Amino acid sequence: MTALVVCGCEPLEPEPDAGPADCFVGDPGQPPELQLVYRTAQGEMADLVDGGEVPLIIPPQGGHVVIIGARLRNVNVCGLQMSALLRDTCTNRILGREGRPIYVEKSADGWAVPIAPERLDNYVNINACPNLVSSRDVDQQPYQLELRAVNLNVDLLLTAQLEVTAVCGEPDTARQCECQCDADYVLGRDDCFTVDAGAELWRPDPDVPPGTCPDVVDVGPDTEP
Amino acid sequence: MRGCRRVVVRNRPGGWSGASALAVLAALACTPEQPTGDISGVELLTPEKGWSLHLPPFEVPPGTEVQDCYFFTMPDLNGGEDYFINRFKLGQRTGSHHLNVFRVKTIVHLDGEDGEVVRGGECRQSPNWADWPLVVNSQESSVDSPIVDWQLPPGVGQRFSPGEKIMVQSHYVNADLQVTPGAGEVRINFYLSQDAQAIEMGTLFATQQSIRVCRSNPNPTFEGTCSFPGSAEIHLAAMNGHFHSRGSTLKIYDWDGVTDQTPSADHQCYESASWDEPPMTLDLDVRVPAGGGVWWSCEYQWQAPAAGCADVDARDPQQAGDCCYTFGNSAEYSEHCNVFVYYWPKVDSDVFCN
Repeated sequence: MTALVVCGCEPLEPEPDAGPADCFVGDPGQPPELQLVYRTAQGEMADLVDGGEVPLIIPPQGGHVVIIGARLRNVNVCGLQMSALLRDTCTNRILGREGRPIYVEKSADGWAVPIAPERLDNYVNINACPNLVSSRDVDQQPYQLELRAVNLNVDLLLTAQLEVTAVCGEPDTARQCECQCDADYVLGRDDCFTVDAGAELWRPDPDVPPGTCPDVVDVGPDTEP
Repeated sequence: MRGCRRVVVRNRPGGWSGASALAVLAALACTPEQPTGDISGVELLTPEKGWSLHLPPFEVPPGTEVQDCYFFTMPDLNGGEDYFINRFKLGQRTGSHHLNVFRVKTIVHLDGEDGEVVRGGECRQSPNWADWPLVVNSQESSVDSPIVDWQLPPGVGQRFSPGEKIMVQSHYVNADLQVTPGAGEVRINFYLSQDAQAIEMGTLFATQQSIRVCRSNPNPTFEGTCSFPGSAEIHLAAMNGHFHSRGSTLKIYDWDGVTDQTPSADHQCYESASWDEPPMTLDLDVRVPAGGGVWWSCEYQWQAPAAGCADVDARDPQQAGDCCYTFGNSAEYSEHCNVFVYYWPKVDSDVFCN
């Protein structure tokens, strides 16, 4: 079952100035709706549910990102700006945040969906790993995902918030991903990529049980004395 | 070519290009026929004062962009011990698009011995230096102001080890949007600190590469954040940003690391509306709370390419046919959204945000 996640919509009434007719997707008489989606490692769009998993993907710029977007209905979609972030609820710190224009088009089911959903451009690319400010591993741990969709042309703000667990989503690079998403990872450490006499140097180290916080929150490498 | 001469420069201890002895750099240099920045103010340093590095004159033919990566090893300026550099002076003759100095870390497809240069090719592929920490950069090469002279805050320095490998990346453009009136040429001075134990400076480099600036959506804005690890307050000392000619405004703010809202105007540390000679803001002392970092935005205004959309469309991975400028090295046909921040005290990790 698909969960519809709309945690905040302003205004809840349809805008009086909805813009050009082809900009409005849905029924102007109905409240705006937003459903979070993500891009799979295989390049497909999938619905994201509260408590669900989202894959970590290697983008062209390197590192590992989660690719978050939205399906929308009953809204003006011309001029959408979307931002999303991952928050560590143990520290309240934001691991990564990105904002960008999002271009969507009406699909057969009546919802507006990202144009070219197989690509990265019409999703928010949240940089997740390596991460220096997380108190826990980034993968296999729950984090708070927060999304804002804004259309300043019509004074529209939609927000959504749910819990997600990022997982290393590409089998060929899973070990590298797990290593670089480790809470103890230090940039430049090369044992994520190194094999010594047939044995991988990096070994997963224990993390706190998912859903719990470290007793002492130690966030990344510290400054030098 | 009329007015050209061949220049051969040998590295030699205590002379230009520093202590590496064997490398030979050769280039063609053209006598400039139009005003070009005078970089003679980047003087030759003795080893007691520091290290002078020189990229000798090279040709930037009309209609081309030249991006080369020069490799050097840091000289021994302190009897075999680490030392601190507390002042940089970077001079570039007119036409430079950027000058970045990196510490060499993970080798992917780009490397060189002391004094060697990689011209184009792998020097244009950013994944090759994805985890190479920035040392210093400059984008200033105007006729009137071709030199950046940066004295680091009192008691602060960048630490180097003798023999540590660095890469100097120089990008010159001589095309429609940016012109190199003479030859390209770069001089860099590293001034030796007299502080035996300085507070170490670190750098933060952030880049957004999944960007698009398209004819049908001509005014996009991209935002990003990057946080410092650790539990100590951070001081921001200097910063600059980098985009290409479709860039209209690049802003950088100090940020608390927890708020999902553009910081207020009084937290804005940097603004650039100049793509070809963006300012470098020096002499900052902006304090960022533990866990905080920087927030930036890159705003663009799409422009029709002078030569038509074919070259721009050819670089669009999406092949949308919408004359979309996407991330890439070419100043003419691609775009960037990069942020360079210098801070202290250095955290025990390099700081990148992709």
